[in-house]
Amino acid sequence: MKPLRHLEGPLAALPRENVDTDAIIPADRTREITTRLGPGLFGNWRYDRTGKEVADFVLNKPSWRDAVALVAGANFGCGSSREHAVWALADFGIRAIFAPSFGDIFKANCARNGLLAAELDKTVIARLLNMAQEPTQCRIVLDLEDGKLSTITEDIPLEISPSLRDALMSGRDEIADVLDRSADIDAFQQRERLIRPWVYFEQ
Amino acid sequence: MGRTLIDKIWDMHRISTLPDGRDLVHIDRHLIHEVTSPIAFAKLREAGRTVRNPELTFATIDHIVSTRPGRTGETYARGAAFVQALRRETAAAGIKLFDLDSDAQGIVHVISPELGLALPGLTMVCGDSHTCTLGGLGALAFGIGSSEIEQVLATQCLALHRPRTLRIHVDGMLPHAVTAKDLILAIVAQVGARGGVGHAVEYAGSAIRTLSVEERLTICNMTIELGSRIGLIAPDETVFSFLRGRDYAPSGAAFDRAISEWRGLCSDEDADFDREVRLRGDEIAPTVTWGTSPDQTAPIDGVVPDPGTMTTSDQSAATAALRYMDLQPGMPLDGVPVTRVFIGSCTNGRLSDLRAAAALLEGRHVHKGVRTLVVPGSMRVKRLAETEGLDRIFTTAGAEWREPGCSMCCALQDDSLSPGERCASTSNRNFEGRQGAGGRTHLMSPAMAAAAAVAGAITDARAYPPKGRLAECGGT
Ligand code: SF4
Repeated sequence: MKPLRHLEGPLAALPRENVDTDAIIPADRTREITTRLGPGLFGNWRYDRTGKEVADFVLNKPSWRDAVALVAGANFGCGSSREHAVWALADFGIRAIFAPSFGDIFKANCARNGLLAAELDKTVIARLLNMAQEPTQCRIVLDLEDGKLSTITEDIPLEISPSLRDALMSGRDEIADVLDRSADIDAFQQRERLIRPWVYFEQ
Repeated sequence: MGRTLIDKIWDMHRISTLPDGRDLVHIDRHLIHEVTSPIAFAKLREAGRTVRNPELTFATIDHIVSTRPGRTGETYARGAAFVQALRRETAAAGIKLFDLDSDAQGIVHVISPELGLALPGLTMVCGDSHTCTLGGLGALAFGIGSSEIEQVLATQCLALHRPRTLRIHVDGMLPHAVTAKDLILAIVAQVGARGGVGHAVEYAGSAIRTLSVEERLTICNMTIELGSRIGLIAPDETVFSFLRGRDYAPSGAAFDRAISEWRGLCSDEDADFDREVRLRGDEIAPTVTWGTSPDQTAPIDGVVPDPGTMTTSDQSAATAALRYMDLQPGMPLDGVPVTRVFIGSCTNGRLSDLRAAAALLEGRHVHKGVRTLVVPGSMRVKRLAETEGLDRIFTTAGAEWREPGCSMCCALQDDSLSPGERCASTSNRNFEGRQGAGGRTHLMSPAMAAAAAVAGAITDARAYPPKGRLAECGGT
C-alpha cells in the first residue's frame, strides 16, 4: 500500500449527499479484472452518452483536473461494497475525502488502499465545499503527521485514530500483521471444533 | 447487564483484541463470487500467500453472467474472464464452486440459506454488500471489499471495530396483502439511508416474529440500505425447521446439539442497545420508491412529494432525484407508466416471491410494450417453481423465464435498462444508473411488480385479486 504522509493540491467539491459507489464507478466501467479504473471514475457524471466530457462536471474543469482530494455531502460511498470505487478514486489521484459521514464498507476499503476518509463537522464541510468551488482558494495541504488539513484561510484538526494514522503513514499491510497471529487463530479453531463441531468441515 | 444477540455472537468469535482496540474476529463461512474475488486471488498470489481454510469457503457465479435460457459463462462475453478466473482460482485452492452446471448455482445470498451454509450464530462474509441477508437465519453476516476478501482467504479473520447496536421493533401485524418488502421499505424510509451507519441492527417485535424465513431474508437483505452492514433476527423454531435436512446443515445428533445452542441466541431481557426505533406494522401499506435513494418512498395511494415541504438537507437530494426520475411533485404514484419489470434478486428471487408474482399474473397478460423478466434466485428455486408450473404461468402471461443470476439488480451483464427507461423492480437499489445508465428504478414487492407488468404502470396490487388456481393458496 502506498504510504500517505503529505498531500498537496486542489480539493474538488461534490456538493451532494449519498454519493453511492455506483455513481463513483458505474457498473459498466468495472468489467475488466483490474484496479486501473481512474478513467471510469464518476463515469455517468463525467461523460455524456457519446463518451464526451461533460464540461461543467468538476473534475473536467481546468482547476480540478488534477484534484488530490474531494469534499462531499453526508454518507459518501454508500451502497455496493465494490472496492472498484476506491480503486477508481486512487487511480485518478484522489488520496483523501472529507465528508460528514461515509458508508461503512467504503470507509474500510479506503483504509485498505491508502486513502484517508475523514469525517468532519457539517459546518466545516460547508466551508470546505464553498472554498473548493473557487479556483483561487481550492488548494489544500494535508499533513498526517500533525493530523491537520490546511486551507488558504484555516487549519482544521483531523480526528484520525492513531492506528489508522500509523497504517496510512507506513503503508503497512494488515494481512502480514494478522498472519503473525496464526498461532492464536489455530488455537481458536481447535477449541471451536470441539465446542461447535457443526461450524467446521473436514479439511 | 445483559448482552445483545449481536454482542453474544461477536464475543463467541473474538480471537483477541488488537493493540488499536479492534477485535480479531473469526469468520466461519466465506462466500465468494466471480466479480469481487479474482483481484483478491491475484493479490494473494502476488504476495506469495495461500488460502488458509478452503473448506470454509464456497463460490458461485451470479453477478456477471447472462441469464438467457441456454446461457454459458461466455454468453455474456465481457464476463467470461471473470468466470474463467473464478474457475481457475477455486480449482487451484480446493474451494467448492457451484458452477453454472450445478443444481445449486444461484445468487450467492439465495444459495447459502438453501444449502444450509448459513446457520444461526455463524459469522459470514461475502464481497457483496447484501450479505446481511443471512441475518434472517440469525447469522452475523456482512459485506466486504476485495482487500478484505484477500485477508479472509489468507487468515480466516478480520480486524474490526465492534459495531454499535440498533434495535428496530415492529409491533402489530402487517395488514392483508402487505409484504416483507413493503415493511423493509417503510423501515428504510423511517430510519433513513444513513440512519444505521456504524450500527448493527436487530429486528424484533411481533410483526417480525411471525415472518417466514424467506420473508426474514428479505427484511435483513435491505439492512445495508440503512447504512448498516449487519442486520439480524434472533433465530427460532421457524428457522430451525427450515434448516433441518439442508445439505450443509448438521444432521442427527449434531443438529440437536446445534439447536440447543441456537436457542440461546437472543438478546437478554435487560440488554442495552445504543439506539432503539419503533414502528407500527399495522400502519404499513404497499410501498414504492419515487426517488434515487431507497429511503425515498411513498405508499401506493400516495403522491410524489414536494421537496419544498422537506428539511433543507433532504430538499436538494429530492429535487435532484425528481429531475432524474422525471416526476413532478403532487403526481399520484399509481399510474406512472413503466416499460420494464424485473422480478428477481437476492431481495425477492425466492420461491415465495415467484409464487406471489405468479398468483397475480395467472389468467392475466403483461401489458403491451412492457418487457418483464422473471429471474429465479437459484437453480433450486427454478426447479421448484417449474415443478409447480409457475414458469408456464409467467410465459403464458408474456413474461420471460430466465436462468438464475443477479440480472437487472446490478445490471453487470446485458440485463439492463436503456437511458430514460422506467422499471418496476423487486431488487434493492434505485440509485441513479444502477440498472443501466439513465435508467429509472422504482422498488416494490413482487406482487406490486407483477401488477405493474399487467397495468403497464405502477399500481396497487390489491386491485388484482388472484384469478387462477393459485387463488386457493392465497397467492402467498
Ligand atoms: S442480486 Fe443484487 S444485491 Fe443480490 S447479490 Fe446480486 S447484485 Fe448483489
